Amino acid sequence: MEDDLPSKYEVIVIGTGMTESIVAAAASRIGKRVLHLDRNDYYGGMWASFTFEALQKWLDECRNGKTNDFVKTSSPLVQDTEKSITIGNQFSTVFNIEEKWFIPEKLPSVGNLLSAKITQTEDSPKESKDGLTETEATLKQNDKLWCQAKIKSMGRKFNLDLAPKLLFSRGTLVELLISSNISRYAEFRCVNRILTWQSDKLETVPCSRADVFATKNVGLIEKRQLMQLLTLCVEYKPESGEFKGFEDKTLKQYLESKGLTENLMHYVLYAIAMSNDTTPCMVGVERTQRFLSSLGRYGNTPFLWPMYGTGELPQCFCRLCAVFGGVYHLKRAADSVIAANNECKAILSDGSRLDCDHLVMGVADAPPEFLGSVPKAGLSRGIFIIDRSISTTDKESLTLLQFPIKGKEPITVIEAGPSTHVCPPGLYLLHMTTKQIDNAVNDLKPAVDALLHSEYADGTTIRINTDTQSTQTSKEGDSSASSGESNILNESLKPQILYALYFNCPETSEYDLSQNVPSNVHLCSGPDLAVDYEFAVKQAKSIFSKMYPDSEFLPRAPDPEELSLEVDEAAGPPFQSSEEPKEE
Amino acid sequence: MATRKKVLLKVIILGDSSVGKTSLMNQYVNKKFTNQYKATIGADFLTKEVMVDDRIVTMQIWDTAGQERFQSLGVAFYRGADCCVLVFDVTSPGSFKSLDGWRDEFLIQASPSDPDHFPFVVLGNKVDLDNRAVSTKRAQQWCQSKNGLPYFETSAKEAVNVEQAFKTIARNALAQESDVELYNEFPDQIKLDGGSTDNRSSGSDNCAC
Repeated sequence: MEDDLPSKYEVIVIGTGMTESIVAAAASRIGKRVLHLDRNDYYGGMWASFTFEALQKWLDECRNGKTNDFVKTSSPLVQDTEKSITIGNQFSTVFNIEEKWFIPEKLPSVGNLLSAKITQTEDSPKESKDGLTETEATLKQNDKLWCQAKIKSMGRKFNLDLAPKLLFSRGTLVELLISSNISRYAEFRCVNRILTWQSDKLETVPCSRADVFATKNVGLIEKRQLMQLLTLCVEYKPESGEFKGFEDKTLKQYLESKGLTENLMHYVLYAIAMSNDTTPCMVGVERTQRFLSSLGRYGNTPFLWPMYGTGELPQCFCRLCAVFGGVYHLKRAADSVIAANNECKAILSDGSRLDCDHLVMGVADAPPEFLGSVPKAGLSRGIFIIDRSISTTDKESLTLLQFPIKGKEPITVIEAGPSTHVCPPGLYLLHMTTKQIDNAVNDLKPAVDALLHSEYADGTTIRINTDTQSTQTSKEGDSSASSGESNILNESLKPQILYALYFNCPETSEYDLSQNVPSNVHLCSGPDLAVDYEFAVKQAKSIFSKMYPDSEFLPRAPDPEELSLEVDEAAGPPFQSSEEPKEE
Repeated sequence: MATRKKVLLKVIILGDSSVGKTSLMNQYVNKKFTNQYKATIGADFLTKEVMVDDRIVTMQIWDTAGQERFQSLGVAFYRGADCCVLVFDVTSPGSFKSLDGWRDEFLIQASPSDPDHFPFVVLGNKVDLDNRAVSTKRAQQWCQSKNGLPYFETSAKEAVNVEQAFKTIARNALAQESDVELYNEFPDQIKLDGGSTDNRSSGSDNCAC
């Protein structure tokens, strides 16, 4: 293939993950010559969203561990004083992959009636059929039987996130998207439900003032207590003495000192403060503040979720980079880093030497020697395609649940439905993420067992109508009274897993990645454990300010109209002056 | 269904590098042309309000921002397109041959619900130049073979046929949009801006209880 890629850049970025893409955009925005490469044919690396087919392809590559057999130590492009360091292998970092179907490959033919029903739903050619109201869709969904072939035939309607995350409405990413004007490339939906798991059932967490008043889950006195506590946290200033004595204690201890009921304590600790039993008090207060300050900006919870999944976000930053002249090349691997005197000079890619002043790269691509002792373990991830919501209501919900695990990090559960374009109508996606202790299957088991029906569904039994489920979960105060009978009922109301995928991947946010790299090489962590993007934005900012300490980080990009005029005025004045009068 | 809803059409322009995508956009929206070739620096998207059959619609025309150069347009670029404009340079047979690839790429990435009837419009640009290498007939034949796509021969430089071409683009995009609207029943999409609340849906439910 002919290669007209220019060979000199101020910044070369390898990998199109979130952090890398933000840095690329920021550098391009201040006029630096940026080359942004990714060896894959998609954007996002470990932050990507995949169609069902693309996910399968990714899994194959991970299983086969795609090796870099291109190891040429001596190349005419490398000078004697220089050293060529082979790039890492992104796919070798994903491990413990477990993939499982819970439905038959094809539906068995069991009587004409049933198969007639199936063909009717399966082959309905018109999209508009699926534009039914939610209730109709829910009703229809009960008649639906799923098989693998059917899921695969709708594979393009999935956007399966490798790194599902939410944006705090007043978090740094939302502010950055707005201030940089990159927000015009993306659309979002508000998470409209925060659930918690308490006494073996799901409950909706009242988080806004209106929610607190409206909820039936807490009594009147509790409501007052909760309002008081939330107000205290919102208005907290370091001068006030409210948290005196709790600086060294946990948030739980503080809440206990306030005499909160167990119910309230659970809501505040796990859902609002997004903490656990051991979270320090002041960290918890800070998180509570962040949670509360993001309420009400776009909706009744603090969180936003990108339409089409989180894989869109790196692409928004890449587009801005491109608009300001950044050169993009997917399907283009970097083979090695050329360094001399603890400084990166260039990279080798596809037989070309590409010079750069700065090299930015994701950990997945980093040569092993750049990483030093950074451990591989990190995140346990689960992606589940399910046949209904974990807690059905008459309207489609976008849900966050922090599933508490005694003495450990909670399991973050995000459920998204078809209206965010992440799955076809009639299905939901459930994402689970937690810190890796053992492997993904075992680490996520408590939440899977509690929330999902994970027995094989042979495709011959039609499952119970979900209509009663919403009343079931909102019914209050019968947690202890739940008899064995209703447990069985609960089990059959749980969403059926149709397809499950587990894997582990590294989490390097706690490691200093600058230790073993040349001075002008900047490594970006992959997705971190936190539910939000605070870490990625912070890291991108710090890398940018290391490279260009005196430049502004992503100043507002002009609107297209302002921009195109600029370009026109800069170019071809003789032509304009002769042509314009004729037009008027 | 609300008929007074503001209509926003997303149009994307595809084609090989330097066939004149950005110039066509600029000629149509800003009535300007520059001979100075810049590999699409600063070109993002342009908007223009147009009347289509007594309806005012806002057309948002998206440039490739140079990401087409090494076939590196991400799927996000294609999302929600109402019309796709395929551009080639009549002096460059290579750019004409690429049309198939661009069309396929669009259908895969955007995966429109009805690919056979998705509105493409084909533009053969740079007809002002002397060294023409792709005949009108050849181009028309190709368009015919793809379910009869509308074809225009344009010159962004001399503003030949640009207005007419975009009129067709707008009309066909609008026809597509009305199909899509039914499907787009979900009102709560949020565009971020500096304001406190900016729910695109005006009267969406404020109380979920």
